[in-house]
Amino acid sequence: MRETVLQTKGLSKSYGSFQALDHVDLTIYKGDIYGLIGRNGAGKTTIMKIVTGLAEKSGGEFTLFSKRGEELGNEKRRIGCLIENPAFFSGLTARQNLMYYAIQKGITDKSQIDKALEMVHLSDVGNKKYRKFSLGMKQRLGIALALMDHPDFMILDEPINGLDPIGIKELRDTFQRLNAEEEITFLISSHILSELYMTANRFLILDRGRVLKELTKEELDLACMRCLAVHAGDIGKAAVLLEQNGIFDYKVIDGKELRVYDETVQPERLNRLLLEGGVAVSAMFEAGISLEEYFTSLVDQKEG
Amino acid sequence: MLNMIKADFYRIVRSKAIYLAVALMLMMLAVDIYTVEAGNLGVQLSVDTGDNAERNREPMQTDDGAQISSLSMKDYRNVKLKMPGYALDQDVLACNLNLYYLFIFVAAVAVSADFSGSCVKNTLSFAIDRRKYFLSKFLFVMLCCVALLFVNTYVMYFGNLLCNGSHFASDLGNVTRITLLQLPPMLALAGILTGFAFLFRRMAVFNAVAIPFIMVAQVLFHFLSFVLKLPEETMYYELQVMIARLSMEPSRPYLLKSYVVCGGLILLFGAAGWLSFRKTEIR
Repeated sequence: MRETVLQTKGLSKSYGSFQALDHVDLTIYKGDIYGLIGRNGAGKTTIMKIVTGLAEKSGGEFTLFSKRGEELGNEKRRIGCLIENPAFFSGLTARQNLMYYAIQKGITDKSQIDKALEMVHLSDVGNKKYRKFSLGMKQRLGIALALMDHPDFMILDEPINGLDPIGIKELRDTFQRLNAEEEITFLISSHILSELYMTANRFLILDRGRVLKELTKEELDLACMRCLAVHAGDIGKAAVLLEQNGIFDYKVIDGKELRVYDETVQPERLNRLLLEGGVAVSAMFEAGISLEEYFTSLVDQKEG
Repeated sequence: MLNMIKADFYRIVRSKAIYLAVALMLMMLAVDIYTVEAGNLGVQLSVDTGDNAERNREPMQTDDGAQISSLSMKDYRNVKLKMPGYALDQDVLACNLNLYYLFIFVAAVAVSADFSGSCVKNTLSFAIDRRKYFLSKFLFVMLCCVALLFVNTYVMYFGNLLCNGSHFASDLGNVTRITLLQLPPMLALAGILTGFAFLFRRMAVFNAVAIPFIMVAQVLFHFLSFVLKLPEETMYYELQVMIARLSMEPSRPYLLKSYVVCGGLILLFGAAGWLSFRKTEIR
């Protein structure tokens, strides 16, 4: 059984009458790179803030490394995070800022500071004060802080904000390497869906504080893959007919839709096959969408 | 908690504000020593602040009839040096409420800077919990304020001894004893400021409240005691008066009562700061 790093059950947060999070259930296992997808105000940052203790939950519960509430205490030290914008002391250099937090965390091996700076390519900034950093440099320092002290779980809110394309790629490679080599678990939110898609292996799609879907990368691929979608009266019978005719590359979605991924199957042939088999077809269309389209369709379904 | 305090020391010695505070303190002491006169930044009180209060140390005229107010600092110093000697260091320590304005720098750098720059979220999200954060900041501000108090005392003592001679100085044991006696009200000042820093969090708001607070509180205290016709003894527990009286020869009952008042102030402002901070969302 996989070790659970973070689990929320019915996690809710309200600000007056505004419901920022509405009974969110999610489970992150050790080794996951878990992507949070959602529009502005969807509740991505709120989840991260509650988990890290920056905001109080209004309802529900969560466990971190299987500990909750008061038990959390020292487990927090196993987290590295960057939430909202990076925040550092403007009059200190990159190294001094990291040193401040290293002392706070009781890190005795100061070489970790240099390693973290090196990992985000900030080891050559010398005595430049934080206030003089560019947006990208600030972001990278935030990530260096999160990386310091070998965390088991990294929580990163929009980590690629302000980074150039090369920086984004380097960061993605770094996350994937740390995930593969050091088994660091990641919770990452991003507006840039294509980027998140390339990094994460599990996803949670949120909108207005509610979970729309939790799915793996394979499930997401499947949902977005080009196919023939069939809405039929008797899906079970339709599936049997497909297999009897040598079509095995298909999936039944939510028990009411049949998706055929075999590109050699023509819509006319499929329609005839089902009709002759006595299955009434109510709709047949070509499906297969981009990540953005899939996200939009989920939001539309909810609103519809 | 110890790590938090160590980290804050690491940061505060790299902050310009703390050096500015020390520079201001040295400047104030230099003026006191040079003019042989204790300066007071608080509200002028009409309360008996101790056994030396009746002694009017400021001459109205010089020997040749010139008005003292028209003299330059140098001439004023010469006039004062010709007067009978007294313990200038003790008088300066009686005006230690001045340090409140320097303590503002400490609380601002230690606490408000964390909130204004949002750096507090780094600490709270992966280093320690809110209770430990609050306590370590409280302790840190108090430690810094105590350090400033002792630096103030000994710089004053040795500076005065060097510039004005033993004629205007008491002894090292006496200034140390006074400083120790004044610790509770000074810790109360540090506690009030830390409480404010957690209550108001943003630097600008904290400064806007903390800077006028002590004077407003003094005026309000006087006003209320006048309106409610409180006995004069009540005024002895106002912080400025307390600091002045503790620099003299306080009676044991007064000492105990004033320390209880100081403890109460620390608890009151500490509780206000904690209640405001413990559940607030960190931005």
